[in-house]
Amino acid sequence: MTAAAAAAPASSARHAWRRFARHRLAVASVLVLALLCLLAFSAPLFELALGTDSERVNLFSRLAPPSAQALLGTDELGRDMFLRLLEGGQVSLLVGLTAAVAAAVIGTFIGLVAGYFGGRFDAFLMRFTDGIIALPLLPLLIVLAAIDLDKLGIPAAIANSENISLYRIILIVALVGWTTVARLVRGAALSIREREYVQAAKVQGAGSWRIMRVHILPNLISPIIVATTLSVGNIILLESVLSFLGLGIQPPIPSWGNLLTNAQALISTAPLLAFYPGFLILLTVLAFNFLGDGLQDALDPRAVRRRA
Amino acid sequence: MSGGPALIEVEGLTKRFELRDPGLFGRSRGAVHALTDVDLRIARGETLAVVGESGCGKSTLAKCLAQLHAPTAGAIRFEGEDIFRAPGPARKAIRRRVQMVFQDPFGSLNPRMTAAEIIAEPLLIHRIGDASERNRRTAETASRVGLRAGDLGRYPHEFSGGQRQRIAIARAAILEPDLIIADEPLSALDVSVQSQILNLFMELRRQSGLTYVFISHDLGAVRHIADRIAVLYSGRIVEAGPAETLFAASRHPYTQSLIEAVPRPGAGKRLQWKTLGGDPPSAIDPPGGCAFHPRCPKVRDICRRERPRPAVQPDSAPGHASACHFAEELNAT
Amino acid sequence: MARYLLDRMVQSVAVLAIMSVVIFWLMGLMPGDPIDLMISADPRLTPEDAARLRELHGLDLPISERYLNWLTAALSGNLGFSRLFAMPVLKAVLPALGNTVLLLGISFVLAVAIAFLSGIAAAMNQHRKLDYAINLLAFAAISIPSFWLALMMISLFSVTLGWLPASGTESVGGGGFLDKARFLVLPVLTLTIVSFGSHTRFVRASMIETLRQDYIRTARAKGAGEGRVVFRHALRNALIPVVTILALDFGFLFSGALIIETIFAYPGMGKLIFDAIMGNDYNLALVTLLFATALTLFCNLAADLAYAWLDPRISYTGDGA
Repeated sequence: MTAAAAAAPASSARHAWRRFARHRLAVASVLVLALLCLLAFSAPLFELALGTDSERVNLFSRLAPPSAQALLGTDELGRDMFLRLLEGGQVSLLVGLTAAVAAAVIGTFIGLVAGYFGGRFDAFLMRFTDGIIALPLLPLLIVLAAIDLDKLGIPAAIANSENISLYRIILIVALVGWTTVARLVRGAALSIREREYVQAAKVQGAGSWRIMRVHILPNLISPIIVATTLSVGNIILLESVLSFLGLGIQPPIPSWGNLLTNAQALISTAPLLAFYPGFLILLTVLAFNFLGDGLQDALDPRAVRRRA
Repeated sequence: MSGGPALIEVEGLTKRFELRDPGLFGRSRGAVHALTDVDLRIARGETLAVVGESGCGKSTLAKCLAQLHAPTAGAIRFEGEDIFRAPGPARKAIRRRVQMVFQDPFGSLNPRMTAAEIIAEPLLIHRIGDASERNRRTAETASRVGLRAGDLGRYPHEFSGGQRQRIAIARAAILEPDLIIADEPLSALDVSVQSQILNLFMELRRQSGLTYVFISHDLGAVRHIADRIAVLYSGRIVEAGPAETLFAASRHPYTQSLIEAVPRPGAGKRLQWKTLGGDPPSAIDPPGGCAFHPRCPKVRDICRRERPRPAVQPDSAPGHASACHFAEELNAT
Repeated sequence: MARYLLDRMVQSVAVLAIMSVVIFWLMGLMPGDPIDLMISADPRLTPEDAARLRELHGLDLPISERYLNWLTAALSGNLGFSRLFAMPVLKAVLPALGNTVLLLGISFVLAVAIAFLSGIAAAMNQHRKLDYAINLLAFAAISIPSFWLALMMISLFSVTLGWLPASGTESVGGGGFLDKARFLVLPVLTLTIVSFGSHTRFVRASMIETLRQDYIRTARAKGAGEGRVVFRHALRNALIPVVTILALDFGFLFSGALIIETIFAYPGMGKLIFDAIMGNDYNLALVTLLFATALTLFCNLAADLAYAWLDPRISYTGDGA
């Protein structure tokens, strides 16, 4: 019993907005996230204004303190830290959002099919997701991140392309991340398919796909949005950990996670290098979690508190 | 049997629901016997009322007729074609000609669609007409069921119960079907609205020669609309016949008790509230012999041992069959 | 109950068996193979030598046969030889397992204790300042990247303040109990912080839900003190869902341990897995991953049992209550 019982969209949108606006932290989170995205994706503008770029090495000003030239100082190779953080932010935000949406799409599809058709496939799916929940995730992700794409038969042109680490991490995270949404959607689909308006559509001769698309899916949008928002934070954490361990986003592409890899060695000489990227991760993840919480109260007020 | 060619024929219809533990290899825990060996014949243009207590299987019958449930055994023939053995396209074609109106006019309307969208949906499903054609037919059907054109952009929760049922009826009528199955279409409505909706059903029948299967727990409510009545008890038809014959000369103790429970206009207050004692029978473990015997005021030994078969008595009206060992002795008049 | 327990154990073994196949297959997809590594270590080896070595080690067989060979050996107690540590795999795994159980055990107990105290406090003060403060802290703990927290801890307590050691398990030359404890403080603290947040939120939610129930209102109406209501009536019932979640979180805790052990150079299972994968030590990686899986499955099983034991309404035999 989730948003399915929700009233019609027109008036409920206003109610939802009012409930959301009450959540001051969630509103603040929207602003923070908007600001972060704006900054991250205007990195080229900053590069233009500062007359440098995030990859320019300057060995004469290594580990420089903040100045008008380098707003947050420089790293061990004299690269502008501020610009590198912005570039890293682009990657981390992009990976988080893309993987979350991909996981939501996969999860929605599988959950819908399982919940609507039920039967053996459904029973198998539930066992499977139970099994996935019961596994130590990170060690397995590390294995997945470390496997050799050549041996999977992926053409070298793709396997060695510059952005492969980006695609790989999105794929890995989406592949393990779909279960939350799938279970959520499955449960709701199971209850909605028993409703009389679904029966009515069947009597009229509607096919299964039409029923899922027109009658079931629209009622699931709210919980899916909530779960997806909450998962963005987790995914950014996961990406940063894998990148930090050297298995996620590979240099020279900067990400908040791999910026910390180098900073670890310099922790005693330049602790601020390690502080900035981690703090930005914390801020972003926190904002997504507050946002998800606020959306849950706004869109799905009756939902039992599910775990993210 | 009443005249005219059969639109739909039900033969030996049996529906059991297996009770199964959840999971991949759940064990069976018995079965609900919802319908057993039901025979029916509905002529084109006729209105058949199916009456019985809750749990007697009347909703299951409606859902089998509407192809929502596949029968465990037996056949349903639409114009001679066995609908559950027909190929996919033929089944979809039959679906187009058999529509259903549900009991709860709120539950049966998608809360996220406007009245116009709901009424037009069957046209979309069967890919009938272009947008303007669909709009025209939606408006026309809406006005036939008494909905104001200006209200069609509203959502179900903005309508009253009676209006919602009008929307549901419009949705069923827009395809101009041959048969409409109405599953307790009045019981969720206020008494004052019930007669309006009943009149709407009769008006539609007069306009387009519809055939109805009208499911109800209330014999009194269907008296005015039904040509024939079938009484269901414990998943079996215990008595069937022309409506007036059944009221005037029922030959089954269960039907008689249902008739006595109908409040009679003219008899002043609801005097004879002689309700049936005992509980409806269990569908998982139905009583042996005649299923009605534990509650029957006229029970005798044979009723506990043998199940009576529906039979037409020599002096009955044509098409009036009763499944009682003592049908010939019973005469309500 | 016995039947249910048996069912669940069979299930766990099945998951473990499936995972052994999956992990074995994944290991085959890792970059290079042991012979490549030997060749790079010893440039005098010719391609013919390499082919002979492959045959010797059975690496030229199809993967299904290699798996069966490995499985037969493993079931007879031979888990293979770790190239990285130059010792039998089991000998490398057992001490690490001990270290990890110690680290996880302490952190788990601490995190749960904090979660209960703060969760109950928040539930009893719903919508007051204390509730908001606890909620904020819990959210922050959920959102903090564990590896970054570990680095900040090292930066503060080891580098700046010099109070605590940043890596290892004991001082050079060995130390007493206190010495070992000092090495545990930072890893335990970090792991506790990153895991108490979700627990706290769950305890709070479960407690609020329970306090809303009718029998709690009845107890209050009868004049029972608030403390008595909470601890005698509500806690037990609030506990039931919490227990399941806590144990289900073990997989998450183990993931945290991997990161934290790696950063603090703490020789536990997590670091062992990481080193084995990064060092292309396939035998060791395979076994450690399976150990970690088995450990997680075992904890899930324990959670189910605890759930059954705590909840009087559930009887898995179907004849009780």
